[in-house]
Amino acid sequence: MQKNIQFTPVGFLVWIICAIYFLYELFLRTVIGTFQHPIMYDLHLSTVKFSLLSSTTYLLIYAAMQIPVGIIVDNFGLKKSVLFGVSVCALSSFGFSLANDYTSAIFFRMLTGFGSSFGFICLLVAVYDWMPHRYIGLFLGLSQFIGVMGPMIAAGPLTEITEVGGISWREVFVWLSIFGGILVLLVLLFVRNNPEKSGAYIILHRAQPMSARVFNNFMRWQPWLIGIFSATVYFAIEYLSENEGKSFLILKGFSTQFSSYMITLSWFAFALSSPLLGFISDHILRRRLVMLWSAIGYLIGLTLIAFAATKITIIAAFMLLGFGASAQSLAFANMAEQFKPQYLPLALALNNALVTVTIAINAPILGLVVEHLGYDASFVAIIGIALVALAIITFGIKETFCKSQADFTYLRQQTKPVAAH
Amino acid sequence: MKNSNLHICDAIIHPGELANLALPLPEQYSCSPLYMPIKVLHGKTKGPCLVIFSILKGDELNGLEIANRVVSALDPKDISGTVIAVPVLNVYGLTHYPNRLPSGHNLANCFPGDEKGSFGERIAYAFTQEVLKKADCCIELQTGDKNHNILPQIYCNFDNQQARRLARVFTTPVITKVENKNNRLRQTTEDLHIPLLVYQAGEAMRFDEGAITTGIEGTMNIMRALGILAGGVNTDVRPIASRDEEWIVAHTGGVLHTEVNLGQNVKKGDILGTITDPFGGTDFSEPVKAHQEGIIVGINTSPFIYEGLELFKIATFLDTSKAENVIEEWQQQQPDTQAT
Repeated sequence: MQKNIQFTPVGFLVWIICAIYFLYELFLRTVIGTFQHPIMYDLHLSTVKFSLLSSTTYLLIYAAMQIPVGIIVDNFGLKKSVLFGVSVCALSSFGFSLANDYTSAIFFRMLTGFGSSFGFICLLVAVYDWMPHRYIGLFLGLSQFIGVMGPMIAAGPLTEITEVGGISWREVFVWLSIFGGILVLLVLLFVRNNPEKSGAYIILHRAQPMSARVFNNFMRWQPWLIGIFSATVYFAIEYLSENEGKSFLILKGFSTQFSSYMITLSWFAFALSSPLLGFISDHILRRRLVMLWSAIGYLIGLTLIAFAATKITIIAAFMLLGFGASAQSLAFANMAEQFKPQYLPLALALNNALVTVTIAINAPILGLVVEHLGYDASFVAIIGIALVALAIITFGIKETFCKSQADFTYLRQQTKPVAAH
Repeated sequence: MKNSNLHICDAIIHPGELANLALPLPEQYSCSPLYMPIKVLHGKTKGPCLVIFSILKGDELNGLEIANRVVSALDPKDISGTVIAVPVLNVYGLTHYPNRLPSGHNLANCFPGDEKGSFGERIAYAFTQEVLKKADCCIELQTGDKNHNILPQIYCNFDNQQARRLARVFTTPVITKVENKNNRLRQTTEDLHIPLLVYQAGEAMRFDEGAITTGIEGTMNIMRALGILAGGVNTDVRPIASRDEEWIVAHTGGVLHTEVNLGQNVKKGDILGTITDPFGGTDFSEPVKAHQEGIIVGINTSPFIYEGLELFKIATFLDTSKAENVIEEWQQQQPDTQAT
């Protein structure tokens, strides 16, 4: 049954803490790109090795954990899952700050990926458990907005702060570990589960075999298409931010600072567009249509990044890239509408798994393409991935009109029946 | 012309959308809520609104299957107008069979309903306000009562020209006139100027594949006739109107041995079956005879008979041999199916 949830201060607090965890997770994911050269120098890494450390290692474990995380959240609830995830992130950040060789760096990066893998699913579950469903697109977008502050801060501002203050990447990771510790305390104090209720009763769900929970839900085309769309429409912003975006712009003749800020700008556009598109989608009761606009904007943005030479065009291009990638948050809402509420963590996990697997697999491949064929060839591949997103949203994904496709839409009569005479 | 949004309670259904809605029903004394399922196919282009509903009493399972299969077979992109299917109108009746409503009343007689009325009247009110009033045409899917197997036929008010015209394209062999004055649901549709067709086939609490197939084909043909679906109307079946239908009741109890089939032509005095002693202790045997010429359109399928129980339903026609030919021709067109 779809829950009729009202906005409450407790719910808001739970959501905001989960959103900060997501911000923390995304910061940890992208901060390594900011320190690409010092880390490559300190640990004696090639571009491919760095790509494996920054993206592949992290994202493979992250992606592999998505379905298990869905099951863990399903079984252990929101609070325990968030607590565990944040704790692992805090400990692994401290460990990474001490890494002196490639092996230990890889190990702690994997551990960070493992802890981070709980972040987004827990945030989405918090949104669905605590926020009014009528504005689900908006709250998913706002969650992305808060989350992407992580990569935004990790790009331009952090570069400047560390350059000015002479702070090393190791010190940054120690501070990140302390921040994780504070977050653990907040989770312990404020995060709680919100069980489904009917009047004074808590609705229980009978245990189902794992096969029924996992396989039966994924034997349909729509969830996979939505997941692939989500992955392909988001890939470029993540890849450019973590890997070659800055270097590509520098190669085009732009300054280091300008190049860093373009990454920040794309995340800023992503952060603003996510709640905005969520709000528009909730308001016009359309998901596919808004996702289609975004996919078109995304494709135009990428093409401009590849071929434009002026600052103004590049600024517009990165804003379009962020705008287009924000379709990802709508894809999560769309994915959730394909499943019954009790399978929600699994549904969201599938989406996030596909996103991260796509990034994890394609990032090193594109790293190789850059090394052997150059940036132009890699951009042709990135644009090809964007075309896949556009094709899927145009021909494959059905409009849900913001209604569950796996469950009934529970109506509310305009005038509530009154007591008999 | 482009269709506009459809509003049912607080839900907005967009052109091109298939929506599964659940209408909350009056509360019971347990904490288990009841919902009326409403399936809406809202076409992209404007057109008439057809409402299909079933399970008014709680046991008409063929209707449930017809409504669900019709919805599954349709795509909102392919229709002009709207199809609203309510597979189970009386959810309480279905889940509490054989009880129909907490009060024991018939839901059909709770119409048009009352917002502040009884349990049944509140259901009827919600259905009338949110669904029925949107209809340009309405199909009620019925079966016979328990152990009463009925030849597929359409009932309608012959005074309503549109209902009569549509009844002729439902692809059942027989059309029978119904009086609305004893049924408040039918009266409500008349008051709202909505042509109502009542499709009756098979028996309660059973799936009859033949009755289901005929119901689906008939409903689809009505949609073609209304312009909801593109394509020509199937006119292979030319139904014949029945003047009257009457049940023959048992004058004694015992075991019934039926000797006729649905759709069979019988003459006055023909033996339709025999009632014998259920314990076999005597040579008692009473024939059940046709009291008039006509076609058998209903048979009691239970072998155990008590006095006064309805046994055979005979429909009379102006031209019985023509009716026999129509039914024979229709039966030949039917695929071999079996009730489950």
